[in-house]
Amino acid sequence: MSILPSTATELTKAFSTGQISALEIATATLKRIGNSNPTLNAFISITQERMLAEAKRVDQARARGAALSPLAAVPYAVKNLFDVEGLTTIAGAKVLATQAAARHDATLVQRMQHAGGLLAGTLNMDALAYGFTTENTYYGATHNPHDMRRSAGGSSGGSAAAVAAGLVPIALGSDTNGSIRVPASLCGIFGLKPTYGRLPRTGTFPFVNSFDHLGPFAATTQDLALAYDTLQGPDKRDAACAQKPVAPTLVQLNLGVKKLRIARLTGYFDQYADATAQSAAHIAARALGVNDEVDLVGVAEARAAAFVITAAEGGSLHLDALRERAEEFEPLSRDRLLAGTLLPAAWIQRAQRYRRQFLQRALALFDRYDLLIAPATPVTAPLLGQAEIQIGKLTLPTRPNMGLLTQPLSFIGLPIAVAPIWPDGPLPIGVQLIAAPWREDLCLRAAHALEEQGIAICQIIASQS
Amino acid sequence: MIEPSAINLPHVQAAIELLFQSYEYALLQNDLATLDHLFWQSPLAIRFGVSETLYGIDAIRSFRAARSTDNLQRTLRNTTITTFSEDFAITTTEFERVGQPCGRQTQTWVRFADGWHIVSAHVSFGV
Repeated sequence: MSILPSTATELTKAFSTGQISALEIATATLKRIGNSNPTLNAFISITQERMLAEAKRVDQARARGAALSPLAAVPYAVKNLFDVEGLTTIAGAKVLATQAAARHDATLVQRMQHAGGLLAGTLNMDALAYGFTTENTYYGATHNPHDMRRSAGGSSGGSAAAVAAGLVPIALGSDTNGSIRVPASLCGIFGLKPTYGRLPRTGTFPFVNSFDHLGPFAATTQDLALAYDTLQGPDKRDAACAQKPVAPTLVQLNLGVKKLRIARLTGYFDQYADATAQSAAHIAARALGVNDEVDLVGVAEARAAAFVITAAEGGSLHLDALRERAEEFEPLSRDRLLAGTLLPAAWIQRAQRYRRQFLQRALALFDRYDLLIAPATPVTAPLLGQAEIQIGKLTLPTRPNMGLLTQPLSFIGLPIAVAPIWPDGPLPIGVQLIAAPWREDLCLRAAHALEEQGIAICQIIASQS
Repeated sequence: MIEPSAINLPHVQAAIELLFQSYEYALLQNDLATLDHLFWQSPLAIRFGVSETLYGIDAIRSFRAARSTDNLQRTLRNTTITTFSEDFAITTTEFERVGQPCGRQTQTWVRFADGWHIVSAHVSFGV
């Protein structure tokens, strides 16, 4: 197809002007998913009945003359670690498949529904969100729409692939060490990992409570900001949620970056980026008029500390099941979880202490700069099953290292948008636009500025017949 | 009269894009109910196929019910959607089917009180 699939913004307008009914949108979306998903494997379950029922309700509300909701008639889907009433939250893990069905929707699913969204289904992921490639032994790998032989990234790979293939305009995912930013980078779409504590995680399956984040994916910055604004708001049931009021970003998207102080991160972020990834950061920096470069000290140690806490918290979360049913765990991450249960407390405490130090160092940098730029992944999408990636002269195992550039930053909870850049060839790579805590607006403004210039664009691979 | 600013309004294109693809998937799956629904329920609806000339929805419906469902799969390329204001649109596409010459399809869409419908369509093979 040489035409772009519809964005959420256009769909809502088409619906509100009577161009198309919610039921027509839902039906067309379900057909599109049914056609593409057998080869893509982005969806694990398709919530057809619910989607059609939600569409009818949205149509009825419009017929009654009710005020239109911001996401009225917009299809979306969620990573399968979000609770969806009536479905078991499997989080990509066979070991959870026999759990009872969720009795309520996750808070963010409730907010999407309240805003008029139509839930199309739940999306594939690395088991228990532990991985960066969405190669799932039990539920299959999700393919990258830009090259079906390649990984969509992970762990929210189904979310990114569903948007990149034009199946839904908005998807929700989670990001502990890079699980929104890595798949957004490899699939060439926009993604937002908000500040730690911004969006409530109530009703989602945890991985590492200390730095689990939720966030949206979209094909345009306008859709991304629209979704993010819809998702915001306090929820006391998540103890880590900062309970902040909604800080709208969509209305500020056009403010530009002229007055912002921006720098490109060097050092570690150059060292672990191949030529294409470095090129992406340079392209974005040039487009935003950035000349400054800055080296954040101690990033390698931050990544190591994030690794230790991840293994320890992830391992302890699943300790009982690991003891009783280790054989049901995903073989690709079982060893790391088991090892995590055996880590000395001294290591974990040291990692937590370092986390605070590293955060202070990063915050000091934000006295001088409003925004920082770095590549999102060391390389473009690896082949499915590819054991190693090449970063310059370095050869590293693929699965744990796709998050080299994301992991040290989510570790301290900074808000980051990913914007898709096309340095060369047919494969995209994302840049991270990093701001001080609670300044998602700046991340989104910079992403929008890149999009306006045609530098960061989402080339949707519309589902082929 | 159509002003240039009323051509290809994004939200109208969005609506047609979805409906166009619905028609395409329904065609591939021989989903007769959807195909029928997307056509204008009128004796004035017209469909010129490669070898059939059909006037009126009844003739179109009868043809579909009787036709062979072998080799329905096809791949689209160079699809265009051009919309004019809020109620009129043209879609064109080329298509490839294994073992056949390159095909071409043009559809004319009009928005009625009950939504968009194809009022006229023409399919042919290129040389």
